[in-house]
Amino acid sequence: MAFVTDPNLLADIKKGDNAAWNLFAKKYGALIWLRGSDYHLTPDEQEQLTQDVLVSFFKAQDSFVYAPEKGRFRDYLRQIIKNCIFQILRKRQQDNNNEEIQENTAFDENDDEAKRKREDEEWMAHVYSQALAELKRTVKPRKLQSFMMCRLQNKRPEDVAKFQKVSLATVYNDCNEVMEKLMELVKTLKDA
Amino acid sequence: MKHISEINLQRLLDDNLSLVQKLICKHHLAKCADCAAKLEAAKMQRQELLSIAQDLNRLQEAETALSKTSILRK
Ligand SMILES: [Zn+2]
Repeated sequence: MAFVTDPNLLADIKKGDNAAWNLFAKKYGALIWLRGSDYHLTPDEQEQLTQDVLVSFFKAQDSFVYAPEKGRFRDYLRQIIKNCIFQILRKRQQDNNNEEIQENTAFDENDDEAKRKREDEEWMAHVYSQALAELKRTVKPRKLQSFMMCRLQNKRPEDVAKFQKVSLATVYNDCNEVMEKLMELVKTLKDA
Repeated sequence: MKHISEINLQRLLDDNLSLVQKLICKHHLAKCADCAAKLEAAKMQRQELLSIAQDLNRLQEAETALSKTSILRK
């Protein structure tokens, strides 16, 4: 099983220090948090979930192997999050004996397909977020801003050109250049 | 036959071409299935990006919420 897609991050995690924890939490924490909101967890439970999932990774650190051919990281993550959500809901039920069995609601089979679709969309957002962070390091800020305003915020290119004090042709060239680079990065990251 | 450039396809989607360029493109699109397909793909890609942008905002909100917890270690 390929637990970690980045061999450098894997090495850092194995060191087991706070910096590695933070690196990992920054990379996947928001995605885990978001998954919790799909299962209608309370903010406290969402925090618990993120903590639990990260701890699970760290506990399993000795078995971390960078072997993408053996399975996708996102599937492993999906499963581990689901397990942790189940535990949290079970605890909620134990804490409040009168409550209906929550996991039956949360893991309703009829709802499974919709949740799966949601998970895929969230994974894609995570991938785009990683790719955009990478572009921030490698692409001129003005070009990236052009792209984000036009393609993500749906602003009119002529307004962006005016805002940036550049020609309309420049805005289109910039958007095109960033789009190509973004797609390349997304292609590399998305099937991890 | 000279195909429509990627940038002109984007300009076409925004209605940001001169009248002459627009007519040339429309004429070309009527007989070139490749460019017509590219235009359709560009349109879809834009819609996909806007939908991803919404999830990116949710992700951003999650990051903000996360930063207020003690999950990140000092
Ligand atoms: Zn053509």
